[in-house]
Amino acid sequence: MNSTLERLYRQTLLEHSKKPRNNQALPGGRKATVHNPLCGDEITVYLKSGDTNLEQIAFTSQSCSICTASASMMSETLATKPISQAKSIAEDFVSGFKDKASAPKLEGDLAALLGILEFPSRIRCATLPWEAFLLALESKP
Amino acid sequence: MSQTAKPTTVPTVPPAIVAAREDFPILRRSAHGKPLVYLDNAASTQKPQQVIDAITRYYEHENANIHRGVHLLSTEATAAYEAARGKVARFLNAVDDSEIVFTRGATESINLVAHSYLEPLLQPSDEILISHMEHHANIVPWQLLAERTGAKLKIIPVADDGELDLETFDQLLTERVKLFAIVHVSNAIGTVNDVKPLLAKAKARGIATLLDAAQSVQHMPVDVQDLGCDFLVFSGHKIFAPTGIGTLYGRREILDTMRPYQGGGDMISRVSFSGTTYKPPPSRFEAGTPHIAGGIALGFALDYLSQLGLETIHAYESELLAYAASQLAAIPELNLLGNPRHRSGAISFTLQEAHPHDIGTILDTEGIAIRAGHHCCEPLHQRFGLNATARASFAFYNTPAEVDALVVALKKAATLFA
Repeated sequence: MNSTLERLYRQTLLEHSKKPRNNQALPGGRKATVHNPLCGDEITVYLKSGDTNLEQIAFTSQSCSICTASASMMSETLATKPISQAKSIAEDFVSGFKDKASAPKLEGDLAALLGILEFPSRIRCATLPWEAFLLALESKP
Repeated sequence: MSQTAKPTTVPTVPPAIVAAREDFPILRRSAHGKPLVYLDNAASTQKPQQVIDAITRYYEHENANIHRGVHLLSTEATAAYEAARGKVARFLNAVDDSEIVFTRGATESINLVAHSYLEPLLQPSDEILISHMEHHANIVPWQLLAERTGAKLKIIPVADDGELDLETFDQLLTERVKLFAIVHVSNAIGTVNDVKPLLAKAKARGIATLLDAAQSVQHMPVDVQDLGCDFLVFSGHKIFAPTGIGTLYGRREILDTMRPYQGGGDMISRVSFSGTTYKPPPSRFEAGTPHIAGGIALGFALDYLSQLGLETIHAYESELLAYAASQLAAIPELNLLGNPRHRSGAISFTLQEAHPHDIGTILDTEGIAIRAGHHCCEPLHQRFGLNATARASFAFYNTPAEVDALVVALKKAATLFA
């Protein structure tokens, strides 16, 4: 594998895409589906929450490795966070990737997604789950 | 899905083709530090120096508006543009130059037929017949028209091997059908539809016919009189000419009956507030200043192809496609989309756990350009239970060595996602 490719497909990313966490439907929770007409990928994000905090996030998808890994990491990162904080993290993630002026600040497993910045055509793959999460937050339970 | 497994020898590239590849300056560039292997020709083809020079020459020497100037430049630009129309007419073996309408591309050509030919004829009980392997450009204009008129869209099914279901075609070809619009070569599977007998059956029942030749005219000789279609559409940029120019061929008799498409300059005979009259075809359908340089460059692209010879191109590409299909099928993790009897241009596939978008990125870093997604054929992908495939699509300038590079890169992708 060449070095550009290694920066994109880091081991952490590949591991999440091959064994995605929380890759299931959550009946009874809130959900939202986002479709990328450019590639045909589709993801549904499910969430359950209490009054102030998220309790569980899960997803089902037909998606590429980057979208799947991003969704898997998101489900771990945001689960149990206060809703307002999770919303702000997701908004920063989406705007950080789409606004080239300010690279997103990513820690832990999420840092494995930074290689995507070198591949503009793949940025939407990474943001798709987070867009679905934000829509799910707005949806009616 | 099935695999083509017949062993194929490495094709020999004819000397004329080897020399022609040198005419394409972009093929000498690199991508991500690797020699460019351009296998996205079904999306858009590259341009030979002769076409690039024609555009430059037009803007350096002839640029003026056409059909309306008394000065020398306008006269020369008009002559060059109308000469290009003649080249398209001869390329398709049309009876008369006036059967060639310049448009922005195949998509606009189909929308023009929907608006100017079919809409005024269509009753709510009528049907439009297309197939399950159509490009969105030959689906959505008819859906929009069906919504406006209450007419119904009927679909010829596609079998697992990627061929049309001809028995169902016969059943669907009823007196309710007012237009039969069919793709000549599938941009996703590469199926070459044997359209001549289908067009003849439609014609025998008095049904108008449209052939989407966007993926065939660059690969094989196409003769509208021999095929017997009423309309034929193609795009310039898929046949080595610029974007923004394309063709609608229509039989003159039928063009004469059609209402204008857009209104504006150059399409009128007389304009007054008490009523306006329109020019005869093709001017009636060409409102406003057209893509003059594009039309002229399209003419040069067709000259270029005719000089090289569509028969030579077809013979070489047939061998190249058979070689590519057999080499791809030999990759254990790979599944080809369909297994048509005759294939041209495109080969789509999946690679076990590797998502087509990931395959596209991995190949890109190896300098290999392919398409990943539904290739504007979402219904076809749904029919095969897929939301995306990877597609390698070829032009005459591609080589067996490029097929080999594709195979090596795909094996890498298969390993990464194993």
